[in-house]
Formats: sequence, C-alpha cells, structure tokens
Amino acid sequence: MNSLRVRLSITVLAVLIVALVFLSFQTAERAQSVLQPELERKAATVAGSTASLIGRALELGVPLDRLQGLDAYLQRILAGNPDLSYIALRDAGGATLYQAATGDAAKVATAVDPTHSVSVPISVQGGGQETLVVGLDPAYARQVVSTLWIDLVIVMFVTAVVALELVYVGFGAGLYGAIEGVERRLKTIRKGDLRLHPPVDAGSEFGGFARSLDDRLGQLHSTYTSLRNNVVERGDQISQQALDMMRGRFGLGEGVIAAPAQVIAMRAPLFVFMLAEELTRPFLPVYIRSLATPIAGLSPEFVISLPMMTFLIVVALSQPLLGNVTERIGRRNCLMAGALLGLIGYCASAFVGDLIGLTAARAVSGLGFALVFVSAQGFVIDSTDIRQRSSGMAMFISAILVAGLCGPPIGGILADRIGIPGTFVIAGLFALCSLVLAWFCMPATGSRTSQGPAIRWRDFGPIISSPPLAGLLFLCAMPAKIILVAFCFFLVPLQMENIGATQATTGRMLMIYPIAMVLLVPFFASLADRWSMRAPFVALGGLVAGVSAFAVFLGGAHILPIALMLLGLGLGQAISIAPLSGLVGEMGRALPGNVSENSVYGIFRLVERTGNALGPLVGGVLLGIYGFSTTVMIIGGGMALCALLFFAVLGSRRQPKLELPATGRRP
Amino acid sequence: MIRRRAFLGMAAGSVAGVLSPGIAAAQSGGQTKPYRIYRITYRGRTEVEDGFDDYLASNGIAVEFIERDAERGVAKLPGFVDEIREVKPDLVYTWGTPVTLGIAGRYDAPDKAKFITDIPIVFALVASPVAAGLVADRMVPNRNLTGAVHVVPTDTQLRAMHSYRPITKLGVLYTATEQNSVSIVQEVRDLQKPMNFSLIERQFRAGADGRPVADGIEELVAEIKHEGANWLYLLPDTFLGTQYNRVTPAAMAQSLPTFGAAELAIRQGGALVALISRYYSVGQLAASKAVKILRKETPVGEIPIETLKRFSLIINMPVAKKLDLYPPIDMLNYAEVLTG
Repeated sequence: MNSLRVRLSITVLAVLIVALVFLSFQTAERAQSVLQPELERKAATVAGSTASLIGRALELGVPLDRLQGLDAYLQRILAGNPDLSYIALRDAGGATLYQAATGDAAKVATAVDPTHSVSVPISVQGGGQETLVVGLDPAYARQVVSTLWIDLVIVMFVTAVVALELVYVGFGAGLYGAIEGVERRLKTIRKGDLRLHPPVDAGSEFGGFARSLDDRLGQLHSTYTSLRNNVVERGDQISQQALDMMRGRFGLGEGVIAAPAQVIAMRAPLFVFMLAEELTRPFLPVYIRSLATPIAGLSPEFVISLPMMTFLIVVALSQPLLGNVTERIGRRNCLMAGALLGLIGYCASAFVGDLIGLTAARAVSGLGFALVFVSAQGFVIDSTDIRQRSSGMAMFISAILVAGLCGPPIGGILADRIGIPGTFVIAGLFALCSLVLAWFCMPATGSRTSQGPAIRWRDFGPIISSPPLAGLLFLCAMPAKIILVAFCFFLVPLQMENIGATQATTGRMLMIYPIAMVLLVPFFASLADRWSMRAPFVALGGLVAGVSAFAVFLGGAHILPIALMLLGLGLGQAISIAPLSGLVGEMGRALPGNVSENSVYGIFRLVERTGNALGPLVGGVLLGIYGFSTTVMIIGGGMALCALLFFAVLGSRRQPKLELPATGRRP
Repeated sequence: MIRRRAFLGMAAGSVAGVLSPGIAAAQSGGQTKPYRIYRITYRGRTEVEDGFDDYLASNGIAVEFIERDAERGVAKLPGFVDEIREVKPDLVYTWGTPVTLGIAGRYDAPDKAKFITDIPIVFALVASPVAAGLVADRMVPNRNLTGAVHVVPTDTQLRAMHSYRPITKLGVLYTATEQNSVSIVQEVRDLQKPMNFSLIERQFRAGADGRPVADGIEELVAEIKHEGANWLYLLPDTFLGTQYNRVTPAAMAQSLPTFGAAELAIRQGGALVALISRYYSVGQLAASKAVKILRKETPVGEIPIETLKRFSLIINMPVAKKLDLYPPIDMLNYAEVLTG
C-alpha cells in the first residue's frame, strides 16, 4: 500500500472526490432553491383549475352544499399529485366544507401553515368568500432531494472509479510504469538481488532514473562476467567458487527478472467495451418487451427471453472456438474486430423495429463480446508467464467487474434522460472507443506459439464420470450462472419496470451484486483457503444465493425485498465463486488419466456459459407461467437444493485429496 | 349559440358556393376540376352539412354541390333518382333513413332499377343501417354505399347515466312495433347483469289500427316510478320523439330523472341529461368517407359504416335544480350545460 503509484492514485481520487462533493452540494442546493417555487407554482395551478371548476358549478346555480362528488374529485387530484398533502374547500369563516387529505385528516384541521399551502379564492359573481386551499407535502420535496442525492453519490462513485481506470490507462505504460519500475529496482536491490530488470520504456524523470540504475547494474554485471571469464581462463577453482557464491547471493550474471509488462495494455479497451454491454443491463428486457409481438403458443415472457438467450448462446458457443482464431490473427486485430461488431450490434439495436431485428443485432453484439473477451484473455496469457498469470488475470477480471459495477447505473440514468435507443447508440460509441483504444494501446504483434486447444472433447468422459467434479460443475457452477443471469439480467429489470421504478433505480439495484462481489470475494477466497474448506464454502454459497430468493416473501412488488434478494445472491456467490474455481483445478488434478488442467478449466467455463445461456430461458419460461415472486423462489429453491445435493455427494465420497490446498492457479 | 353557428356555416357555404370552383380547384393540386356532389337533405340544411363542407375544404377537396331538399317527405325522391341519372355526379349524399332508402333502396330489393346503384352514395344520420335494410353488415357494406351513423351505443349511454347517478332501477317507455326500439331494449336487458341494475319496461298503448297512441302516458310513467325506477331512459324511439312534451313533464311530476339519446330530447324535450353525437361531427365523419371514395383510395363496398368515438354530454341545469339532482362536479369539465 505504500507504493508511490497507489498513493498517487489516492491523491488524484481525493482531489476528484473533494471537487465532486463540492459540485454535488451545489447541485443539490440549486435543485432545492428551484424546486420549492416550482412546487408552489404547480400547487397554485392545481388550486386554480379546481377553484375555477367549483366556481363554474356555483355560477351554474349548483348550491354550495350540493357539489356532488367533490370529495372524490379532490381525492383523485391528491392521488395524481404526490407533492400535495391535502386539498380543501373552506368557507369565509375557515370551516372546511369539502376535503381530501393524505395520511391523517387531522393534519388538515390544524394546517394553517401559509408557507406550505396555497389559497385561491373561488370567484363567483356576487358569490361568497369560499377559498380553495392546497397543502404542499414537505416530505415530497425532501424525497426529491434525497433521490437526487442518491443519484449524485452514484455519479460520484462511478466517476471516481472511471477516473481511476483512466489514471491506469493514461499512466499505465508511461509514468506509472516508470514509477513502478524504479520502485521494483530499489526493492530488489535493498534485498540484495542485483538481477537485471526489463527496460522501462518511458521518458519521464523516473524513466531516466530507472535507466541509470539499469546502466549501473549492467556495468556491474559486465564487470562480473569479465571477472568470471578471467577466473575461468586462469582455472582458479577457489575464486570461481567465490564468484559462484556471489552469483547465488546477488543474482549477478542472471537473466532478466520477468514482469507483467504489457498486460495493462488490454485493460482500457476491455473495460470500455464491457461498460458498453453493461449499460444495457437495466433496460434490455424492458426494451425487448416493448418490441415484442405475441407469438402463437409462446408466453410473452418466453418471447422476451429469446434475444437475451441468443446473445448468451452466441457467447457460449463462440468463446471456445475463438481462442485459436485470435491466436492466429492476433489478439489486437481480433479485439478491434469484436469492438467493431459491438458498434454495429448496439447501433442496430437502437434502430431495429421488431424482435427479429433485435435478436439479429444482439447476436452480432454477442459475437463482438465473445471476440473482445477472448482476445483480452488471450492477450493476458500471451504477455504473462505462469507465475504472473494470476495477477494478469486479476487485472482482466477487475476490469470486467468494475464495468459491471459502473455500467448499469450509468445506463439507467442515460435511459431515463435520453431514452433507450439513444443509450444503445452511446453503447455503440463506447464500443468504437474500445476499438480506438485497442489500436493505440495494444502492441500490433504479440502472437505466440500455439498452446493447443483449450478443450479436448475426449476429456469430457472422465469429468462426467467423477461424481464430485460432475456435481461441482452441474450442481454448483451451472446453477450459479443460471440464477445470476435470470435474476440480475432478466427478472429484476422486468419486475422493476412492472412496479413503476425508473431505469436509474433499476441500474442502482443492479450495482448491489457487483458491489458485494468486489468487497467480499477476496475475503471469502482467503478464508476458504486458510481453513481448507473450499467445498463447504461452495455449498454454503450456493445455499445462501438460493435461499436469498425467498426474500420476496416480504413482497415481490417492493424494492427493498428485491434489493435484499440481490444482496443475498451477491453474498452467496461471493462466498462460493473463488473456492469453486480453485476446486475445479483441485478436482481436475485428482482425475485419473492424463486430463490436462487446461482442459478441465475449459470445460468448466463452457458449463458456466451454458448456464448463462440457460438463465433467460429458465427465467422466461417460469415467468410466463408463475409470475415474478414464484419464479424467483423456484429458481432460488432449485439452486439451494443443488447446493445441498452437492454437499451430500461430497460427504458420501470424501477423499483426502479434496482437502489439499490448491496451488492457486486460476485462469 | 346553435343558431349563430348554423348561420355562419350557411354563410360560409353560400360564399363557397359562389366562388368555390375557381379557388378550390386551384388549391387541390392534382384535382383538375371540382367533384360534383348531388346532395339531398330531409329538412333543409343542418349542421351535418356544415361539418361535411368544412371537412372537405380542410382536406383541399374542391367540390360543386347540386343541392336538393326532400321537404320532410319521400314524394320527391323518384324525381331525384331520375335527375341523378341525368347529371351523373361523382357522389350522392343523403340525409336520414327515408331519403337514403328512397335513393339507394334496400340491399335485398328485388327491383334495383328504381334506385341508384352505379354512383357511390354516402349517407349521414341513419340510425340503424342494418335494421333499415340498407346493408347486411355495417363493417363491410358490400354495395356502392357507406356512411356515418349518429346513434351513441347503448352501453355508452348507460355508463354516462350511471356516472351522473348510479342506476338501480331503469325505466324504459317505447313503441312495441318499432323494430329499432325493441332491439335497443334487448341490449338494455343484456346490460342488467354486467352493470348491476334491474329494468322496468312499459310500452306505449296501441290504437285500433295498431299504431301507438299518446293516451295514458302519465299513468305509464307513474307505474314506472312506483316500481322503484330511479332513471327513465328516453331511447331513440320515433314515436317517443314526438311525445317528449308529455313524457318529460310526467316524469318531472314523479321526480323521475330522464336521460335522452337524442339532441331534441334535451334541447326541446326537457330531459335532465343527454349523450348525443353532434351533427357537425357526424357530417365530418361522413365527409371522411366521401374523401376516401372521391380519391378512389378504397372500394366503396369495403369502407365500413361507422359511428363517432366521442360524444357530447348535455346537462339541463334548470331541470337539475327542480329535481335537486346536481351533476358530479367533474362532469362540468366536459359537459355542455343548458342554463335557460
């Protein structure tokens, strides 16, 4: 944590956040000052039109005590104007003749507060002194401002995270690379490790400093080499031994220390592209529903799931095949091709008029998504050796997670402001941006020796016939993806629309899962490893995720139970996701025969992606028959049962190997 | 109010009549010369014709009218048929059921020679074209005729009545020999269950020749009231239309509110409320059909005969005062209120 890079990032963020907090306060204050007069104006308009209607009735000769249905009429006005607390017709003496009030009617009797009410006289020629009084609900203004604050905080959060990404991107290969290079050199030298480092490619002060360090180390190495050559020529065994000891102690004459040099180059294009896809999360099912036309024999909910399923099926099927393609054609070219497909797919999604067109557009986007994903993953594999793979992959995964965190709320706010088609176009522009970033950031070459196919189909046999591994894949990995996609990407956005929530609210809801993941995954991962309890953690996580669905017992038509459900889902999957991945490798190595670990992981990913594609299908079919609450409880109950079953399978065939700590490799 | 609008309409119409060929033809682009419409009214020019003319004008259709009036009878109609054959207009316009039947004939008439079949006819103000035998199917006329119906659907009428004051028992007084009335009463019977009210039916007494007579109207209304009716529905019955001056005072004497289905029932007949189609709007609807025919967009036989989607609610405030039965206040937002 004391790295200069981290401290610089924190400083940049702190400055940014101070500025944002200041701006947010200004915005909220401005909103408040505009809001109150605006609400008063609106109340005056409502009062005016109601007063003129009453005036017309009196003018037509309807007696004051015969204003039929006025109470009900006032009640309807209140129902249509949440910013009003009461509306009443009073006579000259202030006695209430007709009224409607929210909450307790007692408020009306006592309410004489002129700051929160608007009075309009009933003007009738030669008429009495009646007035219509409209009361403003102070809670409404408070609620508007607090909703605004939620938006502001989310914008602040997202801006901070995106800024951090930009800092990475902007400084990654340059200044930060140089700073890290210098820090690495100083750290190794302090430890007495005098090995050479890969050159720092930057022009800053830090770059120069790193290079001068490299020069001195280089001189030291060449001095050592000539000294050793001399000694070998002389055949001085004792001196040679001494030099060898020095070599062992200080690493003199050793090669270059490897470092994850270029992994960061793929982060920007990957992040921006994933952000494009995540933007569509809160409204995609709603958008599909608006385009959907009934298909005979299929429930509307099932029809809605089709374009989503198409996307995920394209992703699931193409990913295993694209690995080799991107290797041959080059990761950068493929990533750019994927971004281009994304651009086409998102823009087409904005303009298609029907379900078929949207399905085709989503299929194109899906292929683009798969290409970008596989290319970026391949790029990480290319630019890291086996020891750096984990940290490279962490960078890959964190880019996706951060995008998943920021995309939905931004997408929701955008959809509320500029509409869904406009947001699709913006997603397309993000894809274009990803293309440009790939062009600038990623090295043009970088193809490496082929590593062979990731999945060997003949390896399926031993995996299926191993009950624990099969259980892990089909009782844990696959249901985990089904429940995630069905809940987060399908059922919740549709239900939120049904209960009248804005897209922005839906976007915020969809942040719950990634936040839980980001915060809790590292914690549970280390806990599971430390206690050597990966399998129980996997089962427990599945159980928690599944049981969370029953939060809708508290009311599936309310936001809080749905939020609780998503929180439970996030918690459950945070418990299980890392142990699950580790357990796959662990169990794979325990398989008889020569099933490669690569192959086991390949099959694991394929099973997961199949679960992804099944998610909307399962959600759509059940939703059409049972409605939201029952559907989530069926899926959640199924997930929980699978987790218990997995635990039972393990318990019945407990093997000592299962408890071995893993070597911690996670592709 | 009405008189003024009618006057203005007529003035505009006559000015257009003098100037229209030149000016209107210049406006209408592709149209080389004005269309000729042979127009037969029943009782002189009404607001229906105003709506008809205005609609054509605002759609840039130049027309030249040959105006004829049946003078409240059918005697002149055969002469009109001959004249139409002679002048060969582009379209024939007919007002009301008697005129339309006299010019177009029943769809199943054995001798079509007496009627116009080769020139398209657009009618207005026909209450029930199917019952009158003009067409077999309103949606697909399947002959050289279409038009606009002015009657408000029965369920719409009852819903309006219900929102003024919930119907518990509904009284109807109609002519047993009028097919149109019998079918409306059947519709009302069918609405009892869904709208949760009961029906009290009375028929006008019949004279020796079987025709309805006005004798005993007061007793019939009193019977309806005594059986517990809280509304009397003045359905569009032709004989009833001639007896408003006896029916509504009788109802008033019993404090029984009346709901009219025809404009006359409230403007002259003293009903409390009425839901009606405005003549002007009916004229516009008929003109929209005429435009389709003149522009040859759709074959005449495929242009559905339609009624309006929006109607006018009229409240008679002096009657409301006498009955101490005032309208729900939000009705004043859209109703026309008669005050004098």
